Amino acid sequence: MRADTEALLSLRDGEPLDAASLRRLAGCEDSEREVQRLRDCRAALQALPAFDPPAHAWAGVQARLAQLDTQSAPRAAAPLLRRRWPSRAAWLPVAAALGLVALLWPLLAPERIASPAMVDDPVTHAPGLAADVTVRFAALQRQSHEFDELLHALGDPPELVSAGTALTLNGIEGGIALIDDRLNQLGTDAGADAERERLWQQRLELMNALLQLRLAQAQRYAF
Amino acid sequence: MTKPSGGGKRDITPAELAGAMRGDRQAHARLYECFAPGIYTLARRMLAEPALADDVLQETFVDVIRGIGGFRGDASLDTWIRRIAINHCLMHLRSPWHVRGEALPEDLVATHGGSDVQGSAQRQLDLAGALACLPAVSRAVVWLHDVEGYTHREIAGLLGRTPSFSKSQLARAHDRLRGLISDTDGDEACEPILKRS
Repeated sequence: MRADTEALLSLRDGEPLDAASLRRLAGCEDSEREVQRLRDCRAALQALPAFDPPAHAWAGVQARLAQLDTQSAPRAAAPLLRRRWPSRAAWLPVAAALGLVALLWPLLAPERIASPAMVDDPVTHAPGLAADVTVRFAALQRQSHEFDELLHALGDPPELVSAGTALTLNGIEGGIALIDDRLNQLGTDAGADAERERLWQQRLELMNALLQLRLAQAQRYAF
Repeated sequence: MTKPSGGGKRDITPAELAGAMRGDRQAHARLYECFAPGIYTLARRMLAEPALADDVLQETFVDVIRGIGGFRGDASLDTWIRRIAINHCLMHLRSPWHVRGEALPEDLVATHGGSDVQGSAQRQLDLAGALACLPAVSRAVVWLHDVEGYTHREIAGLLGRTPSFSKSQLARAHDRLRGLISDTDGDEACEPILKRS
C-alpha cells in the first residue's frame, strides 16, 4: 500500500522519516513511482514560464516614490505653477489617436523617450553646463516644456481605462502636482537650488513616465 | 535555496549596486530592470491575480529603493528583494479583502484548451492553471517550498504557523494538483479546472 503524500514528500525532500514509515516505503513500487512523480511536479513548477511585468509598472513605482519624497517635505503655500495639459473632458476618437501617433512619431522617437527612468540628466550628461545653475534649470525646464507639448498633442486619455492604469495615471499626475506645489513653496530662494534641481529632475522623470503610458494607451486604442 | 523560475536578468554589477545605495536613479532603474521579471512572476504565481501582482511589484520596488541604502549584504540581493516581495504577497493573502480561488485567472480562461497548444506547453498550462486553482495558502506554501526553496520551518515563521501546518498544506496542495493536472495518458482530465469557470 502506498504511503501518504506527506511521508512521500518527506522522502522526496530528504527529510528524516520514522522507522515505521521507512519500513513501509522500502520496496514499494507504487511509492517509488509517486515520489518520482512528486519530483517531476516540483521540477515542472520550477520550469513554469516567467511573466513580463506590465509596461506601466515602473512608472507607478516612480510616481509612488516621488509622492513619498514630496510628502515628507514641509508644506506651505498654495500652488502657483499649473500643469498645462488639458482636462479629460474630450478624448480623441481612435482614428484621431492613430493619426496623431503617426504624425508625432518623429517627435516621439526612441532617443526622446528612452527607457522609463532614463530621462536626460542635464546635470551630469550635458558637457559644459555643470557649473552654471541657471543654464541647468533652463535645460530642465525646456525639456519639461517639450514633454508638456507632447502630452498636449496626444490629447486627453481615454475615459475607460483599467483600474491599474487609472491608479498609475493618478499616481503620476498626483506626484507631478505635489512637486509643482513644492516648487512653488521654494519660490526663488537661491539657497534652495539643490532642492529645486532635484524636484525638476523628478518632475521630468514623472512626465516621461506619463508620456510613455499615454503613448502606450494611444497605440493600444489605435490598433 | 532553489533558483526560482522567471528569474530574469540577474547581472547587476557591484558598481550599480553601490550607485543604487547612494540614491542614483539610473541604478534604481537598472535594479528594477534586473529583478522585476522575477518578482512579478513570483507574485503572479503566489497570488494568481494580475492586479494583486501589479500591486506587489510596485510595493516591493518602492520598499527596495527606499531601503537599499540599508542593505547590508547578509543575504544576496536577490534573496533580500524576494523576501520583501514574499512579505507583500503574504500581506495580501492575509488581507480580509482577499477572496481565495473565487474565479479563474483571466489568462487561464483565455488560453486554456487552445487546440494548437500541445505536449509540454499544454502540460505547463495545465500545471499553471491547477496551481492558480489551489486555495491561496496551499498555493503559497507549494510555491515557497518547491520553487523558492524555503524550508517548512521558514514557511511556518512567515505564516505564523507550525512546521506541521506547512507540511500538511504542501501534501494537500500536491494531492490537489494531482487531481487537477491532466496526465499524459489522459486518465485525469483538466475538467475540474474548466468546470469552475
